[in-house]
Amino acid sequence: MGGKDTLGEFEHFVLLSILRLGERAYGVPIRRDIATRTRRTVTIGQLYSALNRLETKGYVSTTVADPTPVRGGRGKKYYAVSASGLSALRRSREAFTVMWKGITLPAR
Amino acid sequence: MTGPRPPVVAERLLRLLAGREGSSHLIGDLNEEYAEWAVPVLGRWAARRWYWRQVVSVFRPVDMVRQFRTSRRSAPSQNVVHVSEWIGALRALWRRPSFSLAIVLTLALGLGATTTIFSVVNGVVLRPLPYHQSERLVQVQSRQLRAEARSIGNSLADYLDLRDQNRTFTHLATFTTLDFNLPGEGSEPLPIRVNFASSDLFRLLGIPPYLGRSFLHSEERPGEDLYSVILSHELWRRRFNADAATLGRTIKLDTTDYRVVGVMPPGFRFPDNADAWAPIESWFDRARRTMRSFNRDARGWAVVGRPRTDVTDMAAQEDLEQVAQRLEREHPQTNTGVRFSMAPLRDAQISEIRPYLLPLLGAAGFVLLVSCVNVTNLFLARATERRRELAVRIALGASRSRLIQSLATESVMLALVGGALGLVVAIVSVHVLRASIPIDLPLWMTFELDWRVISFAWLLALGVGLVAGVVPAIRALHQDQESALKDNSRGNSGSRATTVGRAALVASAVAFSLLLLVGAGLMLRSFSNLQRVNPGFQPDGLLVVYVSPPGDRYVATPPLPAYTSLYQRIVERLRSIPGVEIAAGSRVIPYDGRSAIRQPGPVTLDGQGAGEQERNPLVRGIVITPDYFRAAGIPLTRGRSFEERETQASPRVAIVNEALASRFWPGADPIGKRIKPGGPTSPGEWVTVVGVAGNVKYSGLHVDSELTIYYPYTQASAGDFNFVVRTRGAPLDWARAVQREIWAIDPDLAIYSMRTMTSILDNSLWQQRVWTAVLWVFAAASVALALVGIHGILAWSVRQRSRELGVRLALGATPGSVAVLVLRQGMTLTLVGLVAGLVAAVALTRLLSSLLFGITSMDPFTWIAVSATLAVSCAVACYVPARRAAAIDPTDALRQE
Repeated sequence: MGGKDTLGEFEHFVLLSILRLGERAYGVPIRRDIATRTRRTVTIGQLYSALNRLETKGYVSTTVADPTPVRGGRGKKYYAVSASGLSALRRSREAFTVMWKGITLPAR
Repeated sequence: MTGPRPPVVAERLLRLLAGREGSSHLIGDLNEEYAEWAVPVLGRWAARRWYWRQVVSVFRPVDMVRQFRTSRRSAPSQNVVHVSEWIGALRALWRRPSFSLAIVLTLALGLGATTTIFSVVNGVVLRPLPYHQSERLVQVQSRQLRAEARSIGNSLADYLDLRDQNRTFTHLATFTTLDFNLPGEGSEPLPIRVNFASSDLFRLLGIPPYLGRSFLHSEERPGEDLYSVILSHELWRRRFNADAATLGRTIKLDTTDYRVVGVMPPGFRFPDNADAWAPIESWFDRARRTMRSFNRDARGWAVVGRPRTDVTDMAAQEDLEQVAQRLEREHPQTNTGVRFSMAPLRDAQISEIRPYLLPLLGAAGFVLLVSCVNVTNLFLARATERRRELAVRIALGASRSRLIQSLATESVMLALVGGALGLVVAIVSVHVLRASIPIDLPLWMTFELDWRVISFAWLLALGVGLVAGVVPAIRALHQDQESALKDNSRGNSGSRATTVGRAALVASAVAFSLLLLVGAGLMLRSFSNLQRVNPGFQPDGLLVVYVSPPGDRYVATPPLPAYTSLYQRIVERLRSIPGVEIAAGSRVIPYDGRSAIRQPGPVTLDGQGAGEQERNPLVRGIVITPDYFRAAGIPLTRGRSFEERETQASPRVAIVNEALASRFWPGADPIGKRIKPGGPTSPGEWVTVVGVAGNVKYSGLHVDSELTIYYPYTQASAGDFNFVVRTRGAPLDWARAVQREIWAIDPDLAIYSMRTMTSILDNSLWQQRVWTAVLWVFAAASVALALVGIHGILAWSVRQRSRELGVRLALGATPGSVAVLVLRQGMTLTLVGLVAGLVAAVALTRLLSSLLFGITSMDPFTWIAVSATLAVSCAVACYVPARRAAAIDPTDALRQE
């Protein structure tokens, strides 16, 4: 992946998913959201390494809550997009739009 | 925890890999998804697989996340161990030479032992025979149903019918191997082995000649002017200097001319180290000229076949059955009860060694286990020592898995070095082993270290390195890092679990050692039992000379066949040698693999009908000269021996052994009874019993004496002969003289071997001797390692507790009681190990019982002796640390921090 300023594609998806899920954004629903929407397999390793990267870069903030029996008493880590995360998203989207400008793909 | 439980191993692994802090949420998420989505949607088993896949996915990216330094951001190569890692590992190992050396040596021992045995197994069982598609080759054997389906050798007539009538074989070839003389031009006659084979033998084996051609079909039918012969590469080099002009030359085998038409590639010596191959009918001719009968009952041929690829084994076997039954109908006199069976070619040749292979492999495995145990212990101790260093590295941000990787690199490196050293050990051991095997193994059976063995050794080393090194490392990483940082002690204390773990490892080393000792002890006693068996004759001071006269020179002429007069003359000349006390001859020598090949045959007693006769056990027939019993020291318990005057013209006589006499005529005097070799309708002549000799174990010390009947050489048919010479003093001293005398009679007589009877006897026991020695080497190595382990753990424990022990001494305990404390610790370990070892031995030595002679696997004497010895040795190993404990200076100890 790239340096601090750019968002990888998967990181992009993760941030978007967190935004969509709002308060319910923790590991399980994020993974399921991305998997169903993009129709790709998302392993837990992939997801967590992305989440950890985002956390290191400061693009997400976390809170821990809600241990449940089925989790063996372990809490859930909830994610929320931070301000710098939002700007990163914006930058990324702009970059895409600019690059796509004027391009038409040949019909399939 | 409610809901379906995720796979426990996977979960533990995840916790291990991800580290305690990082894993909690991840595991929680994973388990939640497992219970709420995977199991209901995918089903239990698919869900478990899904869980494992997720766990595996964690291993890689997690370390991509935990960066050690931002400068080390080379993410893609994170999972490939850098060259810098290897160098770092090397440096770390260099700084601790005694540690590294101990590990490398220990591993070299275990890996060397295992690799050695594996190369034996490889040579015997795994490496394919050097023929085309050798696993498809089978050996066809004739069996006599009326003699418990005993193998009786194939006859040429049967073979020809088999070849014509079968429908399931692409090739069927037959051959028989005979010893011949290659007369030398100016040099001694060279004894060589000639294989008389049907023309399609080479095609069957799929080996084209190196030079020239192989046999043509036309050569099978008589009519050729000169018979063809094909030489082995080795013979061609040795005798003919690899001269290409040898092709087309005429050479003499015995006294017959043959034309050389081909040379086989190097290493091809099918089947029994043959030096040359000649077509069947050339044997035929020779046989006719020496009156060897060619009838359906003359069984001495091996048959090898290649079933068609589209045919199952069962179909081929049924085909054979049908042919056998047809032959039985057409030739009831010779083929009643005869059936054909097939077995893979390899099996026939390795059946002797095979039973030993598994126990040996197991024993080597145990040595490896013990060395792994010691190595793991060393790694555990080291990892505990490095707790502080590891905690510092983690605090500075090193990722756990990165650290595991670097520790694993160290241990793998050590293991690979140990493996390389082990290979050296194996090479030397295989060499020694091979040298100590006295018999002629089939040439394809070599124990060299080929790619299979080498890759086995490396993989083994790799596995050992990973397991022995990584597990302790992971343990060390998961201890409480805070306390590790604060640990101001000499860095040696570990968690209680580690200590118990180490003790358990040492105890297991003791257990394995006991296991090996019991096995080795049992084998040793079995071997000494075998050596004490009475062979039935006096082997000391006997020289055995095996002579094969050129078949064509000694043609039968009445009144005495030429062979007979030849042997007579030889015996007389041998008798004239000053150092010779008695000279005699016999067709069969005890324990000599070659002469024992002549199979026992059926006999008929006077007055027996066909039905009764079939139930007679088979009898071994031996042709001897009159002085044989005296020379060999076989007692004659009744009647008399043969006399020279007994010729073809006088009444046929025979001498039987006690076993035969008591079996056929229990309670009665066997002298004067009549017996006939062969079935009731066979053309053999009736003989009258004139004497009874003691039993001799001809087939092996561990086999009961067979029924034996002796015929005088003056009344029997021609053939090779062994001369048995009882000498004054060492038999081999007279070998030159014997050779001289024999060649004085006929310089073309090839003397195949001159050995002492004692060495023949010893050689027959080679397997028991060699493998017992190997087991003892393994046991000794294992015990040594276990003792080192005990010493190590006790010494370490004393260092640990030096403060506590010092306090005890200061408070008035005697040095003796402190020593006893340490001793008790050591002996508890020993006891646990002994008990565990005994339990395991009870289960496992059962596997040895088929190899044991004269004792059972539960022989109490062996077990007690071995256990006691091991216990005492362990006590001695405890002695030094105990002494050191007693010698602790209390003030010193208290002064320590």
